[in-house]
Amino acid sequence: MAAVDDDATSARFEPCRDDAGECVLHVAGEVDLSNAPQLRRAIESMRVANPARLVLDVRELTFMDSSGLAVLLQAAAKLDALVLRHAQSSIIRLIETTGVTSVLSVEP
Amino acid sequence: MGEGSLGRRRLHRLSIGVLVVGAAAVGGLTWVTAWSHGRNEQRLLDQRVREAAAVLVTSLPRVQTPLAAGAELAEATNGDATAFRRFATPLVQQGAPFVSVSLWQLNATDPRPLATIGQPSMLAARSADTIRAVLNRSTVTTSLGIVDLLDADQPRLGYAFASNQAAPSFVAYAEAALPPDRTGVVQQGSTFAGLDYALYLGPDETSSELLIASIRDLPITGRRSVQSVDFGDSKLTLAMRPREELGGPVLDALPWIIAAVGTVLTLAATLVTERLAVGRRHARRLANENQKLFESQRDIAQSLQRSLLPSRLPDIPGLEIAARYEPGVEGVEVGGDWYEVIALTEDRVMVVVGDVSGRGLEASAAMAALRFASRGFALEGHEPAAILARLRNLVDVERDGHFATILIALISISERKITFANAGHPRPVLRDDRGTRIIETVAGAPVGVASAKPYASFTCDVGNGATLVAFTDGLFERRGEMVDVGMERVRAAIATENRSLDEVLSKLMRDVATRADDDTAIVGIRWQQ
Repeated sequence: MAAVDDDATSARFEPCRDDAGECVLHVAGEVDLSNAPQLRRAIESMRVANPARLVLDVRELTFMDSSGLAVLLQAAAKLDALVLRHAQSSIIRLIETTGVTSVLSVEP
Repeated sequence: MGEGSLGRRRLHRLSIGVLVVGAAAVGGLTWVTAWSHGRNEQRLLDQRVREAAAVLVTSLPRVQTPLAAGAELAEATNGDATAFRRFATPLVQQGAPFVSVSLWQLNATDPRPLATIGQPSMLAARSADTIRAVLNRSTVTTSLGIVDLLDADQPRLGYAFASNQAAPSFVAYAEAALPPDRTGVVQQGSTFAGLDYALYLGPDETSSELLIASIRDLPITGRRSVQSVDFGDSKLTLAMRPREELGGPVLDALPWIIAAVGTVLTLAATLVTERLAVGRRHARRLANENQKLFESQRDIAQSLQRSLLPSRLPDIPGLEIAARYEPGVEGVEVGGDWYEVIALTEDRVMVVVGDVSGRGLEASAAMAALRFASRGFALEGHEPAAILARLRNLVDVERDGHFATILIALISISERKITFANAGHPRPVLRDDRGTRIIETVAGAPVGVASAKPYASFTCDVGNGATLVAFTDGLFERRGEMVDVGMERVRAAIATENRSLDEVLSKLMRDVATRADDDTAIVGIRWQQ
């Protein structure tokens, strides 16, 4: 389930606001064991409003291994809702086959 | 710290190297600068001496021209003393070059001056032979005859000139006084400014032949330049030495400036190198300690993982069983993949394949807990779904940051029935006489992820010679690819391999598991026909 690259896999984590003014974390590139801790820090640095709901815009996320998924699941366990917005079909399928659709909300 | 203070007493090898190289470079540079400065000074001095010598030569006509005129006058007037005296009187007045001018007749048995203007001629006090020799010599060459009177108390230099006619009868003769101590004053801005000089009559620096010098301490030594020039029928030798650096004081000091600055830089570089070397030694020691710590953690994790995988698979009549485990990249933290085959009864076998997210000791520990617990629950007779439910509180992603996907298959050999329960794990592949298919087990949430939904069981009947292959995602997961595409690769490989179960697993490891950076575990079960 875990993947390690010789070099850290390239990914970007950028907080910004969406059209509705909601704080959104943009997650782009590939997330695996090498940069999952960065994703965790990026999520932890997001100031989440009540009700505790965090939106990740993952339209540019092309790959995520179980380490990345563990970060999302851990964050989701502490929140009312963790929303993945604009997820690519490979990511949606990963969430389905891992049986965590009830934990991670997928929004178009 | 003991080593650190010890190391400080002695310079590091590298620092000594920097010091030696730096000192050599500074020494070399200083020497080259000094040498080139010396060469430059000598060149400038040689040039100054040549200029000064040229100035001396140009002073000759000042002497020769009036004497030549006097000689011609004497020839024209047949040695008329009155005419000569009238002509020569201005030549001995204040500011004129001579102290004594006289007219002489050639070939006289007792040579006496026909006329003397100014002071008495010193030549007249010499012997008749000397006088005759001087007079005759002036007729031999067309140049001015130089007469050495330097041995007198009041040293003089005599100049004799005979007409350039075929057979001259008269010689115009003059004497110039030299300072008694033969010390000259150098005028500012003249060719001799800034230089010590000594001028000799003749081709070398004979002290008795000194005409004039700017200093008393002779001969001139040190950095000097000597030039001989023709002067009348004789020679002058000019020796010179600079009083100060001709190239200027900065150029003179340059070698010393370079030496001083270079020494300071070398010492500074040595100091910096020493500090770096000491720092590097500390860093290396720290890195060694870290390496040891890392290795010990890795060793613990690896031996733990080795101990956690079945050393051998159970022998179960009617079933063929095979398994593979391939750790990810060598030398890094171990992963959390595992498999287990538990013989519950003669007819019931439980297969467990699991994968704890992440790597390292924590993942291995979680895997151990899950593996032994699942084994225990299985031996207690629980169904797969019930086992998963009981494993739930062993791992908590919120608390540990790990979760586990687990697939449990309970096999009834004689009934040809398999009951699955799946906690978010990749689906298994089944091949029998009806084809090769991915079994759509209902995936519940992974163990460690809170979910209200209970785990569901799924039972399927299998056909003749059925083969079940369960595995972890390391076998098929590829970046940027749909899970289903990878799964289809696995299915197709199983569908097209007709040899033994062992061959099926070998083919999967060889052809499908292309990624080397993730753990891969595979378990295969085949009903013997």
